[in-house]
Amino acid sequence: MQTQSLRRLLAASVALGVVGASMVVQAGDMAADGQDAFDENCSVCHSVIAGKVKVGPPLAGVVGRPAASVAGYPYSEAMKSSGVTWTPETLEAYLAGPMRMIPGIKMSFPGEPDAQVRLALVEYLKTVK
Amino acid sequence: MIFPAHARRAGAAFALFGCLFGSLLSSPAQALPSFAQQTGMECAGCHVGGFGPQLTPAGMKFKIGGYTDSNGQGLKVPLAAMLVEGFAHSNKDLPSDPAQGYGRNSNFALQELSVFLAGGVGKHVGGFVQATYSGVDDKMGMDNIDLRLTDTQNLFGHNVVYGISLNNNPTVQDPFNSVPAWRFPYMSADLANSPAAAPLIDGGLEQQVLGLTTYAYVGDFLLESGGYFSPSESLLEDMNVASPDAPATKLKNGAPYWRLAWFKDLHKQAFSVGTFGLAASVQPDRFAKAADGYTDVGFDANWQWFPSRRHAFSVNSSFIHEVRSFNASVAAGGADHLDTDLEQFKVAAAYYYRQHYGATVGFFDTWGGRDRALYGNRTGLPDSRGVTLQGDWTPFGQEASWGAPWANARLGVQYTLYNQFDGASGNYDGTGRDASDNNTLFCFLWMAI
Repeated sequence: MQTQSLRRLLAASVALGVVGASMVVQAGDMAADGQDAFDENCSVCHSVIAGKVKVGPPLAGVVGRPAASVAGYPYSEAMKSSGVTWTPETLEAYLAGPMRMIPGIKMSFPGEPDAQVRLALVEYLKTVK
Repeated sequence: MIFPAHARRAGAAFALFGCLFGSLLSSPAQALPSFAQQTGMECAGCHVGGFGPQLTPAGMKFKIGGYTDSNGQGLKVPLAAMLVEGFAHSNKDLPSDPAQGYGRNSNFALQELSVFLAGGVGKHVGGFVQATYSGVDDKMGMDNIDLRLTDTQNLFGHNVVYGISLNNNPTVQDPFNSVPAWRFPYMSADLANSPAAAPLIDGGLEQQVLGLTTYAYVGDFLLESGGYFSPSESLLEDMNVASPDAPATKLKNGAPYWRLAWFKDLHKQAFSVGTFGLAASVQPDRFAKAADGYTDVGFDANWQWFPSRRHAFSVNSSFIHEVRSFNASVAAGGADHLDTDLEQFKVAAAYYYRQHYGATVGFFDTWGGRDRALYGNRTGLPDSRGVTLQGDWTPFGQEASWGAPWANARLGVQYTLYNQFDGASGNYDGTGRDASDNNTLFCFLWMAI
């Protein structure tokens, strides 16, 4: 009986481990895809190096921080007064149509229509600190 | 670009340039010398192939925004320089020396050495002023100017950019690489024959006029209107763009200018279609009031495709229809017909790999009504047609490039083939010279710092 319980526990652990590992791998894959998407779509105007300011603000540590919070960057009034905090959810919504979400901002990016690409971008942005 | 004048006038041009420079230097500025410094962006962010002047959609928007976008890291004093060294070889020796000190063929030349003030001051003022030394003409003079006042407002959820441009070359203020001031080929041989006939808006007024245009970028539409006038001859002589021996083209009255374009940026792709034009009365003799009329109506279309950061495709095209009324020229014996027209079509397709390696094919065709007195060639036709092929290598221009953003260079090989030249394929000038004799190999080094 005890042996069976141990076997079940072991099986469950393996299954959980496999699922967990696959989730980690999946997130890793998504982050890698997101890095590609970032290079293609965002890197011209944004750096992921803290303190490196292009025509857009640096995105290192963007997940979790309030909008318009990089010191010294000339944000638009619309962004300053947006009251948004960049959670994964708000970032995903923003990337779908920045101007739709916050009218009057400076960013001219028209929006990423592919939800998978947006999610991948967010996964990548979680990794840049 | 021709810069006729005397050395003292070059000094005056420098003085004017110095005043403009000084006015910017007087700001408590951090001295950063280029648009790349101003924005913190790599050159490839705004330029296809990592080198000017072909603009990406981001570059177009930067220009429409009056060159004012900035990363906000202090006020910049933008100063830049450009150099073009070229070697030109024609299929057959030119009929005469193309310039003093140069032979009839296979010439090396310092074509341009330019100094720029280029950038934005605050949110509402930006532009560029270019002064150029031509090694071919051995002269320094004012080149292109585009100075802007601009603002952005949000209307109904859309940003509306509007402003005023003070410039000296119709279409130089345009963001699209389909208009005459910015079309392929972006550099060509000064020491080679080129077709004689072109619409007035295609270089006929460059640097010889001043214009004020108002514009607005609303939604996906760019609207612009304004006009050009002739400044005094003494001012143009001071800027070294005219001289008593080579007076400037003189507009009798103001010349209205218009532009309407639809521009759709889908990020991976961008499209534009539009129309532009100019109506001008030009005095062939600037001291006589009689004038010839020119009405240029242009249509243009552009497409860019960026399937990835590695690949960039573009097609730029334009058609210009020019209606002419040669009252003054006919009276003076310079033309046979009062009313005639001229058509010009140009298209260029380019591909860039990794923003370093580029290949471009351009087709050009000019045709129009016969006028022997006007064109002075064997057939009396303005017709010229051909193809320009170019391969180039841009080793720098990216964020991680050596010397970024200061070191910029493009090495290019260009070959222009003429099927027709000044009215005919064969013996166009009546002395036995064929269109293909003007086929030209042009190798160039184009640097910007």
